[in-house]
Amino acid sequence: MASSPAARRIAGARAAQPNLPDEILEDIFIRLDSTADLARACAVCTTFRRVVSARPFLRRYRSLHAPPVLGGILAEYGEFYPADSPHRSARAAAAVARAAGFTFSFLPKRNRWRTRDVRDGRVLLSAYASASSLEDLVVRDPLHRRYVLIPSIPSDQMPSRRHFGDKQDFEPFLAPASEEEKESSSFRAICNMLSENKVVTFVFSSITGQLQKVTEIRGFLSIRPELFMRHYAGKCFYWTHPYRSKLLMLDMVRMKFSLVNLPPDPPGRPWRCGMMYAIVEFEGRLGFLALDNGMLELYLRDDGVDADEWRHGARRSPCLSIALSGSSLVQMRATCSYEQALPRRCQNHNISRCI
Amino acid sequence: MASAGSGDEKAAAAAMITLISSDNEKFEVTEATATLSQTIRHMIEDGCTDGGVPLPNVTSKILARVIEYCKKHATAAAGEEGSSSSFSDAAFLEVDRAFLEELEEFDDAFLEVDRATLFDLILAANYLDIKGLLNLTCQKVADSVKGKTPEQIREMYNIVNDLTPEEEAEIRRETQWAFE
Repeated sequence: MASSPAARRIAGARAAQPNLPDEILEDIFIRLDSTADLARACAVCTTFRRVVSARPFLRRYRSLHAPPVLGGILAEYGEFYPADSPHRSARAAAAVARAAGFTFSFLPKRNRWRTRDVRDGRVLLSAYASASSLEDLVVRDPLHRRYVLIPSIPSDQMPSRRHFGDKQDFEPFLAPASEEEKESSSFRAICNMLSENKVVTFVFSSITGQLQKVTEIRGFLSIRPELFMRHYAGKCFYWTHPYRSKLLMLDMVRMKFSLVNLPPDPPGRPWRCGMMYAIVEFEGRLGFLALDNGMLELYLRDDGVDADEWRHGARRSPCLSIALSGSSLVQMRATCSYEQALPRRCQNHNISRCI
Repeated sequence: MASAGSGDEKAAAAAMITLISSDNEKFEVTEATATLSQTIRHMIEDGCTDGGVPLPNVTSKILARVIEYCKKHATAAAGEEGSSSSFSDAAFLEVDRAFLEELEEFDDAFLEVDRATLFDLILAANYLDIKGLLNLTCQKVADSVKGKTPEQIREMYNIVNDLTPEEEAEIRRETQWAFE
């Protein structure tokens, strides 16, 4: 690296150009809206590359410029749909579609890989190695053509199994990446094992490569486990079930389960039966958003830890009710103001599980 | 103005600051103009501006341009303060808009300089800690590299490629999508 021609070239560069300190180069690069511009700047010289690829700079850059949407992965099949022209990411998305490994070609051989979850550009797949075993799990990173095999649950920690028709007693999914995980490209995958009357949670960390039991909850009867619907809001996962008037909540920070009552049902129409609803985070509070009688209803939970009360927050006519198909409602997050948030989020409903 | 020794004149005289460039040229500016620079503001607050402020990192050519910028923007700040009380809201907004447009035109014309001067202005704005000028000049450089290839950027800013062929290939492989 420190060969003399290279050293001469650096010296030449220094003499020819005014030398801007790194902090000023950062101030310039932070103003590049497009990541393609940033990537090309990175290829100019070693100084630019050093500044652009420094962690603190990338953290600052990402906080100002949300990563561009390249397309969506259809959760059911794991297929990639690149952003199309005139979207500003169309060219990059087409290149990604060509270069990335969205087919299963680089995975270990199994009869049939099944897509179980998609998040942060990763796809969680499962497949049976043999009829008697639990499913093998892999997390695929199509952008980087990599995959990670998740080890199976240690037999001494395996809860006694309850056999449901479709073996839905095993629910693997991906945890949303924290800031640190985004930077280090690490991830966590979660496996819930549902047995007779308890749920046991295992967490796989790509850093340790280990799958470990982290928590469990007893007395939560798992009838028809395929009817559980998973939601994520405010650093917690929630499960709703049409036969239950309570939410099962998993706090991802404390890694603890608890049960939360749903808002009272409207007269004669239980929430849980056939109605579209979602658990959302709204101004830092837990919200329950439901499409009832053609109106969007928002209920907010009072802040007190023990106060088991919901307050009716708002009612709106859903201007984009067509967009509120089941999965989009689940993914919808009311993070800014209620009025502003809905139309914009709805437009994005198809790319809510995107890279 | 009024006769010598009046309070107004004393205040005005006290509010003048002398800036001395690296090539020893002296520039008299008002305190309002000079304090757009946080560096100079701190020096004034510390009371160490008597006998002029030496700026060994800034040439007279660049300092003249920096002062031109500060004068314009200091007037802008004073104009906003002065007018807010004497106009109705609507009239004030109208004046404000016209003034901002004028300021924008000034900024655009101000940036019509060669690359070396632009870099010197950035360095001076950084040294003198003039936020507005630093923003303006950095944005100008950022805009100039948008949509350009690494080769074009090197040519534009006279940068020698000191990446090894392997390093360059690696960057291009990792970010292939940016080069299509």
